[in-house]
Amino acid sequence: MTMRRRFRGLFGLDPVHDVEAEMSFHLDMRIRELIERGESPERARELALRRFGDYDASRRACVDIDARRRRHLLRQEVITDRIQDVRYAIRMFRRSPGFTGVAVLTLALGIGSNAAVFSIFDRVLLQPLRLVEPDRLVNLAAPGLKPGPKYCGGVMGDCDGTFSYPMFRDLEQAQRVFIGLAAHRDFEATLGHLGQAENGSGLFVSGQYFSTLGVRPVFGRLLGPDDDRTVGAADVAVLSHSYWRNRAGARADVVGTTISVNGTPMTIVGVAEPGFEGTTRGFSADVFVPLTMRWRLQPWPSGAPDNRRAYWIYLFARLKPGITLEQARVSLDPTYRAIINGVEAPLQEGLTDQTMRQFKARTLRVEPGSRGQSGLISDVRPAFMLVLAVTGLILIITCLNVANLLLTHTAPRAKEVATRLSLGATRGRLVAQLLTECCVLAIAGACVSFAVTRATLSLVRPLLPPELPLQFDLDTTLVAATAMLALAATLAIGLFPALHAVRHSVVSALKNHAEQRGGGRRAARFRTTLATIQVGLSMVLVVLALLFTRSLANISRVDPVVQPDGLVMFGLAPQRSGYTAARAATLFEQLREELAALPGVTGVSSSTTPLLADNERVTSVFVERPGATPGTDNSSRYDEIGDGYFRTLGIPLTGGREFTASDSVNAPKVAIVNEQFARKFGLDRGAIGTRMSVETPTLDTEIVGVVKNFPHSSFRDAAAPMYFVPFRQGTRRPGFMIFFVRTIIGSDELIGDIRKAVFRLDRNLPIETVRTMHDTIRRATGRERLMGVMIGAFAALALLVAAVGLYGVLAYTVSQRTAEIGLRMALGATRTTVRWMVLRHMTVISVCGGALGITAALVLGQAAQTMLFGLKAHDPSVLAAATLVLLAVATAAAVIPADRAARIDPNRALKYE
Amino acid sequence: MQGDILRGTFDLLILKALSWGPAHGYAVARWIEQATSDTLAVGEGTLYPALHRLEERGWIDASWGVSENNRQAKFYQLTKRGRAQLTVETRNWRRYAAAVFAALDAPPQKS
Repeated sequence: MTMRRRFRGLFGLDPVHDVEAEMSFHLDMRIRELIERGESPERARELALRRFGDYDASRRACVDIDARRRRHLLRQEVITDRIQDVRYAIRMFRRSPGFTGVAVLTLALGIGSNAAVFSIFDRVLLQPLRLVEPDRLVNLAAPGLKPGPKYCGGVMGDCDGTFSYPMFRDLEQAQRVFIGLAAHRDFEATLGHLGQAENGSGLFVSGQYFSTLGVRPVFGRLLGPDDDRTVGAADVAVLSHSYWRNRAGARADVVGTTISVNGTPMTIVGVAEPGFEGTTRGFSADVFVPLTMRWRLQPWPSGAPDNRRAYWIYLFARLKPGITLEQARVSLDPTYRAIINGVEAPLQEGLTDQTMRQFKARTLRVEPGSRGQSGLISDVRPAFMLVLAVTGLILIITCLNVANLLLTHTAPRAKEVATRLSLGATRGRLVAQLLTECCVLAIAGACVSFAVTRATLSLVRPLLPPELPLQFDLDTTLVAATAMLALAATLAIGLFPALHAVRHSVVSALKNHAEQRGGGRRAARFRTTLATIQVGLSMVLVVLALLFTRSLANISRVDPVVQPDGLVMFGLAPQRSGYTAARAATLFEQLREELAALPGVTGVSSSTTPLLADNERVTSVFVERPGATPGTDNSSRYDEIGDGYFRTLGIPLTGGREFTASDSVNAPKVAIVNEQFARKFGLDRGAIGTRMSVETPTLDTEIVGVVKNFPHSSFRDAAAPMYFVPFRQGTRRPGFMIFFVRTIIGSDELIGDIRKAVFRLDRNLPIETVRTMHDTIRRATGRERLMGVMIGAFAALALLVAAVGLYGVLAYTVSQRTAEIGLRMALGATRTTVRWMVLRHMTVISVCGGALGITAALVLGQAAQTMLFGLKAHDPSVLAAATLVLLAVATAAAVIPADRAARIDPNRALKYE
Repeated sequence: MQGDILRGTFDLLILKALSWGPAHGYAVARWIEQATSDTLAVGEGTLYPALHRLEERGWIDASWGVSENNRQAKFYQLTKRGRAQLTVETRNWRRYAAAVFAALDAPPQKS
């Protein structure tokens, strides 16, 4: 539209008409000349036309040339317009560096934090596996009651996902809906290659694992069904490409050589394709080993190959073409249920009717598996969602703030806009120009935002498992996300101020002063709304920050019970270096003596579970007690420990005795329970002497001691029921051990001594995670501290930004109402009244925003409830504190504008008017 | 005369016709007609695509005005670039024509 009008002078109304007018002028002139020379009009016309030649061809040629030229000019015009706008915008921003700096920094903050969180979110949770047709992959799960030992909750997923080995074989045989059904399970491995031993990670895989995924070898072959027929028969292994390249010498003739996995020599038959390290996010396999080798490589957990009550395998499959996920479930579920009811139910012992019904009601679940199988996803999802929500709020707040700034910025330009409109610029053109300004701001913000992204990534990094490869990386996702956010920000911040400036100042600045004041008041109202929303959103963040701070305070207040001074913990896994259980037991005994003999050591003990490492083992127990009600939950956590465990850790017993050396294999079986265990099983009046048993109701064990409740796996569940038995009396001897050593000299010195002691016994035995107890305790509250710090930092920023926004609105209102305030003062209003007027405005904004924020915070807090410790998301004291913080900040933001209003001189204000 | 030579010549003559000041298409045609004693009388219609092409190249400008007999007419005018072009083309044409004349007057080739 604009352009047509602009070119009308050049082309006339209609280009075809133009050309015809030009050419007929020519003909008329020629005819006139011929008539003057004495020709008759008819003859003259005929001669002129003949002389002219092909009229239509010439006309067409002219029209074509003109059209081409016009298109070219239009294009050039648009480009020069934009260049002009950008130049103009840059010149303007240069003139007000304060405004520009604040706007760009605010935008960078919003864009950067969001881009960072989104790119991690994408990498951790969204991207599918890099395999053929990942969306045809499905994960199987067997939720429900699973009595007996479980080996789950690790990197691969939760307990719902685990199957027993016989069940896997049954399903593998019976299924008709999958191209392949595969099983896998991770294990910690000690890998010996080229003469040196190191810690690594292994994956047990079934025969159809590689074919189901469609992975190819780079050397040799991968594992197939032939490697998976007989338990313990196929000592072959496949290396991952990165292990082969970085740690196995990268030799092309690696196939056929030997690698020692947990002390068992295995023949390397191939290397998998680059980039493939299993399908579990947060876990990278170094070696792939047949599933049937599990009982030779990892002998310590219970569960023989035919044990249907040991759940430890994870299953996935690839759908046949044309089969849907639901069809697969419907086809396989009857088979699964038949096995549960016909084969597995009769094997269960000691189940009440009620639990047996629960057991029989279990069904198979089939879920989309394009992202692989990983416990990580469900682990980090809540924290991530929350962080994503928080950064989303930050983006909105920053955009609102910049929009507000822009309104202030464009207000004085009303005259300029009006002048340009009256000089013929169209509104569209002016809106385009104002949007270009926003775009320039957003691009500048996006450039600066990469620094914010980097900072955010390093802030979020510790939230994620260390296995996840995550560094600042300008990849396409990040750049695209940043660009999208910048675009969104441009529109968000630009559209209203632009339309506003054009719509209102147009009618106005030149024409009618009253109307302009009306426009100004409308702008003030809009800005009040913006500020209210900003206050509301920052209120959400303040509430969340206070919730997480309180949560952190609560968890820090939990009594660790254990005496951390001078206590060091470390692990040893000789079975992974090829020790037999008997040799391992001897080693542990020798090491214990060596450690006890170290200078300054006052206590040495051991257990099979590290302390405060989120490592919990659960089983079902039977307790002798009069009037026991059947059918109740009889699960308890447990640990297998050595002599003097509680004395070494400094945990007091409330009754009975500790284990001693005399509680040996052949001695009567004994147990120590914690207070919560006694309470749960109704043993408050004398647990000592009561008989109990594990898994089966034989009641072969006597409780000899009661220990105070203490945080065992984490601070979050310090009061879980728990029992302890001597590891010497366990069903099998442990192949690994956690040692606890207490010293009266420094911990650092002790750690050096420990390393030397282990080295003296076996120089090839790696020590795992040596850590002081103080360090362990600090790590156990890591997530709480991180969430507290991160959300606290974001909330502080949001509050600052909102305060600036609030200040801006109040200051703007005061400047708009200078004349009115002057008049009021002239009519007798005191300075206090005027001051209160501004404060009242602030109060309205804060109360509305605050109410809005609290409502939103209640909703969001509910989602965050599982991450909070020791308080509810709607904790009234937190809400009250947040309100106080908000009011304090709002008041601080209002002080200067209120003061300025109170100091208005009525004389000058009215004269100015 | 055919093709490019004809068109080049024609463009040169148009530029020359406009070198004394703005003129409409008919005046340009008349001047060429008289100056060349009607030797180049091709269809006058082809003059207009030529004018529009020169305008597209930025050598001439067009604007609507009133003719000597009070009619609306489109007037063409040399631009700065058009004037420069005229100088260059004229020089080229002289050199070219001189070469052709020289060739035509040259004695037979000695073997």
